[in-house]
Formats: sequence, C-alpha cells, structure tokens
Amino acid sequence: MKKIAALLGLSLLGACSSDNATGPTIDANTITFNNFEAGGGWSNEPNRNNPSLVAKGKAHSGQYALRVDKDHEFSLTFDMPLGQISNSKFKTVHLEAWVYMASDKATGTIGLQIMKPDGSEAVGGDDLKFRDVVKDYGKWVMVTKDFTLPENITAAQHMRVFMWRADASEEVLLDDVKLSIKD
Amino acid sequence: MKKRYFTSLLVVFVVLDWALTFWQHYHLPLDGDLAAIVLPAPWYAPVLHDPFGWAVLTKNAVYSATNRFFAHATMSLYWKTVPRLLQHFMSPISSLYAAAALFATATQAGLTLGLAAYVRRASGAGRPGYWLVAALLGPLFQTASRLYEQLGVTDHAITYTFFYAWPLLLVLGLFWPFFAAACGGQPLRLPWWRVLLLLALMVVIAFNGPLAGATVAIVLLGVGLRWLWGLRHPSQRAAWLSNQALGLLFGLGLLTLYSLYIGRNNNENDYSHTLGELYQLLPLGIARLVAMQVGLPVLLALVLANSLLVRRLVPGTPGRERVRRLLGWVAAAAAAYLLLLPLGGYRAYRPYLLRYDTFLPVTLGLLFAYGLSAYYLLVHLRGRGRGTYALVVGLFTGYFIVSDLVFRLPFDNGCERWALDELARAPGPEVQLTLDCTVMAWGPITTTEQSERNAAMLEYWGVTPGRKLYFQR
Repeated sequence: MKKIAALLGLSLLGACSSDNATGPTIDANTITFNNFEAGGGWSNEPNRNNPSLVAKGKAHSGQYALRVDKDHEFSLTFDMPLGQISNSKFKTVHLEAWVYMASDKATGTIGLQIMKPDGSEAVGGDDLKFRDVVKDYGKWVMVTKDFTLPENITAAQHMRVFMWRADASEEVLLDDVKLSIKD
Repeated sequence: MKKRYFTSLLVVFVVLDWALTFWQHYHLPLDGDLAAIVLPAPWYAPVLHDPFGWAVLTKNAVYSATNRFFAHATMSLYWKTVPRLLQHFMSPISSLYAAAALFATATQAGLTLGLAAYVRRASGAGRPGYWLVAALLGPLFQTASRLYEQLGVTDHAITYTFFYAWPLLLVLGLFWPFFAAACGGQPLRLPWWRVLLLLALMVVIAFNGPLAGATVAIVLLGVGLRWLWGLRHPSQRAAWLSNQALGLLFGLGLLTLYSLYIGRNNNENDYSHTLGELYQLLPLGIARLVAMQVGLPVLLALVLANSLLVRRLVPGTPGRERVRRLLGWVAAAAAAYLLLLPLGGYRAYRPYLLRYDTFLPVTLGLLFAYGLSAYYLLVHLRGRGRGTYALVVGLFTGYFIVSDLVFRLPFDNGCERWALDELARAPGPEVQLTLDCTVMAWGPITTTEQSERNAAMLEYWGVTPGRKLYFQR
C-alpha cells in the first residue's frame, strides 16, 4: 500500500513538472526567440552553410551559440519583412540576449537594421555595443535594449538583426536571443 | 442617499459599457462600401439627386438604393464633416476610426436609453429603475464576441450601422409619442410643432431603406388591427387613437407603402429566387440563427420564463396586464416580421435570409421584452423569489459582459492603419501595398482602378496629400 502511495505521489509530481520549465515566454508580441539548438548544421542550401558560425559546447543554454571571431566578422543574421513580423505597425522592438566575452579585449555589437525591400540599403537602424553594457568577462551576461524604429517603416521593408565583431578579433558568443514588439 | 449612490453606480456601469463599445469600434477596419456611398460613386448619385424617387414613378427608372435617400445623405454628410472636425484633435487616419466609433457608440447609447425609456413609460419606473433597465440592456449589445453574429446591433461595417441600427433608433423616436399616449391611456394630442417634427421624421424614416420601412409596416399592421377591433367593440376602443394619431399613422402608412413601392426598382434587388423558394429558406434561416450561439436561445428562454413568472407569481400587481399585453404584442410583431421577411427579397451574402442584421428589429423587440419583464419581476417579486431571480438575471448579465469583454480584437484595424500610413507617406501617385489585409474594401484591391474611389475619399479626408491610387500584391 505504501509503495502504491509513493508511486502515486511520484506520478503526481511528474504531472506537475514541465519539460520547458526554463524556456522563455513566447507570446503574440514575440518576433523570434533562438537558442540556436536547431541551427547547428542546418541550412537552406546544403553544402553551402558555414558550420563554424555556431559554436558548439560553449552555449548559455543547450550546446550551440552564435559566434564572431577573427575569422567571422558577422554572425548568422535574422532577416524578415516587417509585414511578416506583424500586420500592425510597431514602433519599438525589445531585445534580450546573453553575451559571452572572454576578456576586455573583445568587442562586439548587435545591430538592428531596417532595410529597403530589395535589401540594397539600410533606411534606419541602431546597435547595442557590448563594451557599453558588459562589465564581467569570462561569463555569460544578459543584455537588453529597446530599438526605436523609423516613423516611416513599410511592411515590405526588412528587419535585420546580427552580431558584428567590430574592430577586435577575440571570440564573442551570443545565445538565447529574444526579440519582441514592445509597442 | 443609498438610492442615489445605487443610481450613480448604474450610470457609471452603463457609461463604461459604452466606453468599451467605443474602444472596440475604434479598432475595427473600414468597410468596402463607405467611399462609394459617401463620395458618392456614379451608381449611387441618382438617389442623392432624386430623394423621393420621382424618376421611378414617372419614368420607371431603375437605379441603386431608390428608397434610401436619407441613409445615403446622412452617411455622406457625417463622413464628409465629422472626420475633418476630429482632425483638430487627432491624426487624419485616427479621425476615420474615431468617427466610426463615435457613430456606432452613439447609436448603441441611443438604442439603450430609448428602449429603457420605453420600459420606464410602460412600467412607471423612476430614475433608478430607468438606469437599472439601461444596465440590464447595455451588456446585451455585443460587438467583439461570437454572439455578435447572432445578436449584433451596431454592425462591424460602419456603413450598415447607418443603414440598419440608426434608422431603427429613429423608429423608436417616431413611435414614442404614440407609445406614451397609449401607456397613459390618453388621446394623442400634440402641439403643431411636434406634429411637424413627427412628419419630418416620418419622411426621413420612410426613405431610409427597407428595414425601418418593414418595422414601421409591422407596427402599423398591429395598430390597424387594434383600431379595427375597437371599431367592432366600441367599449374596448383604444383611447390614444385620436383623430390626430390616426391621421399621422395613416400618413406614415402611405409614405411607407410608397417607399416600399419605389424600392422595387432598386437595381441591387436579386430576383434569382421565387417567393416560394424564399419561404423554403426561411425555416432554415431561423434554425441556423437560433442554433448558431447560446446567446439567443438563452435570451428567448429568459423572456419566455419571465412571461410565465409575470403570469403566475405576481397576480394582482399593478401594471401586470399591461406587461403581459406588451409581451404578447412583441411576440406577435416578431412572428409577423419573420413571416413577411421573404417579401424583402434575396441577397447572395445572406443566403438564408435571416442574419443578425435582418433579425435586428426582432432583437430590439426581444431586448425591450426582456428589459420590461425583468424589471417588472425585480420590482414585484417578494422574499426569496426576488433574490433568486436577481441572481439569475445577474448570471445572465454577467455571461454577456464576460463574452464581450474583449480589448484586443483578433480582426482589428492595425494592418489597415499601417497600409493607410504607408499610403500617406509614399511619394508617387501609385503605391503598391504588400500588406494583405483589406484596405477600405471587402477583399484585396488588385488593380489601381479598384482603388479610385477610396483614393478620392482619402484625399478628401486629408489622409493622403494628393490622390494616391493603390493596389495590393
């Protein structure tokens, strides 16, 4: 009887737990969340992707994180038409991400650009310089920023978000990037 | 003091209900008939030049909306002035949605207060009673919930609030002096200026489209039968039917008949179904509407239960017979309206004849019947019966409040607003929109020609600096 009670208790505890207890909140305002676990090795053009753009084994969560270093000036890029992100005009985008900088010699930037529909030219944008916000090195640090978009955005324009190594060559890692519409 | 506090609470509740309605309508997209009617488009111009349809009489002319002059004129006047006035306080784009929301909310407020006034007159309620009825009725006006498809009063397409709910508000105003005289048991005797106002209102209502005309016709049918009954049974003659009342109602009848006659030459009429086929569609239409959502069946059940309770539980109370008689008249008028509905013809977008919009006169009749009977029972039931009944009414009202308590509409106008914003900022005279929502249309606009009237309207409103044609791809 005691064993049955113990088993029942365990099964109830199991029912109360969640597979995604530490996951982010994804709601209607979330543009994207990426922990890059699904990105390792995947590409829309097989044999043409660059597996070294994701670093394995050094992530903030899971196994994979984005990387820039002396061989990689830009990271993988998020690119989506604004009208696909939302069918209502939005003014501000909120970014949350985890950054790893090995030392104070590292530099890095997250850039957010609004591109013309054909991608030929940026019509607006802003960036988040890691040097301004990351003061602890050799550990993962959470960074956040609100990006205000230009007044005249159109649905056909694209939003691009990417990491740039700036002028240093030390490795910088980026993980668990969440982008959401603030207003 | 306690009573005044209670009344204030009721007023606040009713006003909050309207505020929510305003908010919901402020976030609805504009419909595809707006510009064509307001400008007007060439096919709607004849009705504005010939308010009373003489061309139908003299030349057998056939054109759009032959008996709807005042619906078109009201809408045109409103949309050519109000958005521009509102632009003193807000952007041109916002002014369009605010204008739509203002009209829809004002219409709903008018109907709520109008129906409450009818209930007050019939039941002899005081000021707190009046606001209690308004508070009972307010939540039944559904905008954002699924019950809208069944019991909606102010249409999501603002054009059809002008064509359906608004004329019925005018009908409430038109019959008010007759109703008040009937409730008072006094012959109708109005001063000349009120007679003139009534005559003007009759003309406005007669040329406001078929829904108001049909509603007036049904009421006149009832009054006519009552009058004939009085002729046969002089001791039971309706005192309020004075010569003045009879003269006015006779005039109204003639105007309504004339309007329905010239309405036959509306080129939007669809004669694809015979009258027999339309009558075959009617039962299906009724069944579909009733079964669509739980709101209407529950409302019907409650009105029916109320009428039984009035008959059984409050014998001998003052006004009981009048309440019962009025409930009977509402039931008879609703049945007559539904039976005559197939005479109104067929529309492809309304394949079973009956939809929330053509059901609107019955909905308003039901709201009146519910308001009257519920108020009467709340006042006249005693002891535990009253408490139990108040709980039922509270649960019913709560259900409707919760159903429509939607602040973020799944079908809101955010996309259309963005499209208009793009249009306003675009440099050229032709603009491609990549957004796939409707932009002052019923569907996507795929050629610039399709956008001509909207472009002219947007230029008039000052949304675009010049005329900007657009298409979507």
